[in-house]
Amino acid sequence: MSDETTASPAPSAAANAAPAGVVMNSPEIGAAEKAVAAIMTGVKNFGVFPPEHASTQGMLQGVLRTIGQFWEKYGSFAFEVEKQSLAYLGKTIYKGPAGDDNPAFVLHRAGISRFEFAPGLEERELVSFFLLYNHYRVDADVPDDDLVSALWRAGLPHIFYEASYELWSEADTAVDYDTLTAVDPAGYDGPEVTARPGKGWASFRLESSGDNYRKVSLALLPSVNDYCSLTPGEQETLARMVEEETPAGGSEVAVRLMFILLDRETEAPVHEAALGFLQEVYLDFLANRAFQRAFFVLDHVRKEAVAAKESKPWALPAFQKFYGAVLRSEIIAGLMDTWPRFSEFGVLEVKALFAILQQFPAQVGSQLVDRLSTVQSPEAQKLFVELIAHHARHDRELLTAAMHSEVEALVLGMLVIIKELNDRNLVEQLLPKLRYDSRHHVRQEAMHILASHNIY
Amino acid sequence: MTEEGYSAELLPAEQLLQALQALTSTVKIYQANNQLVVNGMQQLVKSAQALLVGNDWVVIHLENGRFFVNDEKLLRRKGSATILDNYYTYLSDRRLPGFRIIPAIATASPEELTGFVKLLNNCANQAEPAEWLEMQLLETGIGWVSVLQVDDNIQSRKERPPEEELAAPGRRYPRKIYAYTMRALREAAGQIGEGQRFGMRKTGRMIQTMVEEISSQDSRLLAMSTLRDHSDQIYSHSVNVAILAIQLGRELGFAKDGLERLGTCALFHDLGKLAIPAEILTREGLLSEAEFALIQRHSLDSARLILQAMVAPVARKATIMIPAFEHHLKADLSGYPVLGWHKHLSLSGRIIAVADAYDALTSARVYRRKPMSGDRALGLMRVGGGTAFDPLVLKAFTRMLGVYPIGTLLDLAGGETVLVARAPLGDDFTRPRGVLLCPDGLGGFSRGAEIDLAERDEAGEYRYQVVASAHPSVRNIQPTQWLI
Repeated sequence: MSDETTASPAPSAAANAAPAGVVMNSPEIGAAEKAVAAIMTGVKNFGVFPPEHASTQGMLQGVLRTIGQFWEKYGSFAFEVEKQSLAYLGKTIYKGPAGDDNPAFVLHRAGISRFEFAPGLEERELVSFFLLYNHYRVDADVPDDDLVSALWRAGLPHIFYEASYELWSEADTAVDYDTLTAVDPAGYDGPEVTARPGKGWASFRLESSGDNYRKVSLALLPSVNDYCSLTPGEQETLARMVEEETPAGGSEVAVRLMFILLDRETEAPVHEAALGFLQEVYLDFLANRAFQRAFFVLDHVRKEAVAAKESKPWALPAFQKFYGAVLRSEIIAGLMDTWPRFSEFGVLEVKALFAILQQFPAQVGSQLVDRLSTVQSPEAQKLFVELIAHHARHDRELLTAAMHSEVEALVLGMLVIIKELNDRNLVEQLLPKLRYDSRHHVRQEAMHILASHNIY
Repeated sequence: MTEEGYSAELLPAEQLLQALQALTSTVKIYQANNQLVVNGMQQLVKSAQALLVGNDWVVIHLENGRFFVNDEKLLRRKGSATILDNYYTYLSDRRLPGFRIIPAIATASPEELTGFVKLLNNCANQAEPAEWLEMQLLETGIGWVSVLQVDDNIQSRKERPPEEELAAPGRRYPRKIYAYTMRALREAAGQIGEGQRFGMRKTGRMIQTMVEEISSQDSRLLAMSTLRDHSDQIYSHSVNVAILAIQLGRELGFAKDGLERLGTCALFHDLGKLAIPAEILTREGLLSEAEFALIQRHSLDSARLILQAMVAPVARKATIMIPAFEHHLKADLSGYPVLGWHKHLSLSGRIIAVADAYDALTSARVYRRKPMSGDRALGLMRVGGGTAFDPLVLKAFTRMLGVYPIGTLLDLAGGETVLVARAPLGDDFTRPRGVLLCPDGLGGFSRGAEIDLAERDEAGEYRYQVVASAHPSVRNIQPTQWLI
């Protein structure tokens, strides 16, 4: 294959579609056709019902049974992939017009030239294959991935494929390795430049001959074989290092790198990219209830934004875009879903969550008020009362709404604020009704405040 | 593959050879309680027991390039051919005709299981490997396995014409992988140059191919990393570093997906050099402080370009950009860019730092026209162990390459010239295997036999002595011409 396959003008289905049986000329070919047909049926129907649904299960078992019947008689089921057709033992076992509905086309487009379902294929492998196939069938233009890469990563033990890696023409990649020279012949004997500034350990000059050059050879190290051997302790350390090298740790470190870029870079596109990255990481942290990490992001972006007001006003739109995305009211709704699990969070995570919620605009306080009665955890309720109070100090509407809450603790919290604000108009407007509130503490506190303003 | 990396679809005999092959590498680095070693031992015992059903023993022997198990020839099947080929090479390199396993393997201790594999590794340097191994098994009380007698029918690959050995099917395959990877990288760079974003599809596929190739224990891709092109300091260097990093990652036991990430990081580690004017990169004279500062920020620029131009999910970008950013930060967190970075460096970053320095030192640069030989590069890097480099990563890297890495030119006491082709088989890291280069009378060389510097003569003395080492460029040799 010379290049990625592109769809040629699709011939009519009637002209090209060869239904099962047309090219069959032996029981083996027939069995291969049957197996392909079963797989195609599976591909088409997978996803119609949930994976655990009886129909899906029945379909999967049916596909496995059909392939199993092939294995029993003819061994592993492998077929060649051509642009619009599949072939078994040189005979076409499927042919169809170019397009997403043609498995040959989909596999060929990904560079697959041979495909195999080997004995031992398990249901979970078939499910993985169907999921991947269907994903890349309709979404072939993903620039960072393709079906072959996805299959490679999935590592399905009984599904083999041969993929052409010749993504370019021979001419495009022709390299005459034997003509390459390691050194510039013109300058080989020219003067050596001494070290560049700051080269550190590699800065000393080495000649191609002489004692310095000779002596540096590792071969001259006494007990060099010991140096090359790993002690049991070193082996353990290396194994631990490999275990600890998890991709999950990358995001946290990358966050710090983003702040370095925000700090040092002087171009708007870099800020947009870094803040876009931080936005996604932040939302990911929130989704995973990593509130401390999420707050770290939010807090540091705030500091950068404050600094940008003075030093780089051109970057402010990028910051505004960031805040527009991370402080949406939908985010609060998502966070509310964590409330039932509130007691599972550690103290530091709760504090971080509190700090995050404080960053949201005051309007989201009304959402908190509406949902507060559903919060079962007393700790969570206390936290959110504090939070609503925080916003209500600056938002009379929220304060008014909170005064009407069924949650006694919230109303008491609002009364504290009203007392602090010492605003007679506010007291006159909100408190008289509370003289008749059914809740004793609310009634008592309201009357105290009213009395302090000489309102009876 | 199963979770542990063993293929369930292989036949028991193939599984047994796969387990032995895997243990060959892992026992070199890890102890018997390491999970990789434990997995290998379990697989070894399990597959042997499967073969022992209805048999008093399992005899595995080599004959005319094929494995026989209890006199039944193992077919080269898809999925098993590489295992068979590699383990055949391994055993024939040791001139071992095969071995017999008895049911006692079921009760063998981990020490007895790994002990056998270690003895197999060590017998490479023995004058009479089969006899030596038999004696060692007796001495150490390892009774679940015995060595077959040498049979004249069993032809060692050493005795084959070297042309046959190196003209194996797919000879050009590593060259293609190299060329396509370089092409993918150039395309990505071209897109960046035009202010576009670049996808990972092609580079991803090539990295996966590299991982497969290196995982098959084929050393030819590693040989490709000796390619040097003085006119290209970015692309071939990046591909070389990717090969070296994946190879080291595999030695350390990285899983397949980890190797893919590591290779991708390595391939893109110098992307930031695209932001440096070519005039500065190729300047022969000293650079000004400002120009050098520009060079020093290339690792940060690599991270920036990955962030800005790579089309990939955030999580993937994060894992790729961090090692690229870190590759000039030293183990003691000095180095550049100077940003007060105090985070622990990732293992991938530390691996790439070592691979990057090695490839750079063994390449010509405008500031150092004469590339260093591999042994000198490793010697110089050793000085930086603990400060410039993670000492353990450096040690594992050195161990992987041997004292005289692949591509090093060696002069022997007998006047012969050898190009190192493979790492040592045994525990003497100064005795690699190589190809004799014979003067052709026209100022060039012709290819001679492949020799093992660990080979001993009848008196038990080493047959070859190294008197000097050199970078192949001193004799205008491009190692890939001879090794691939």
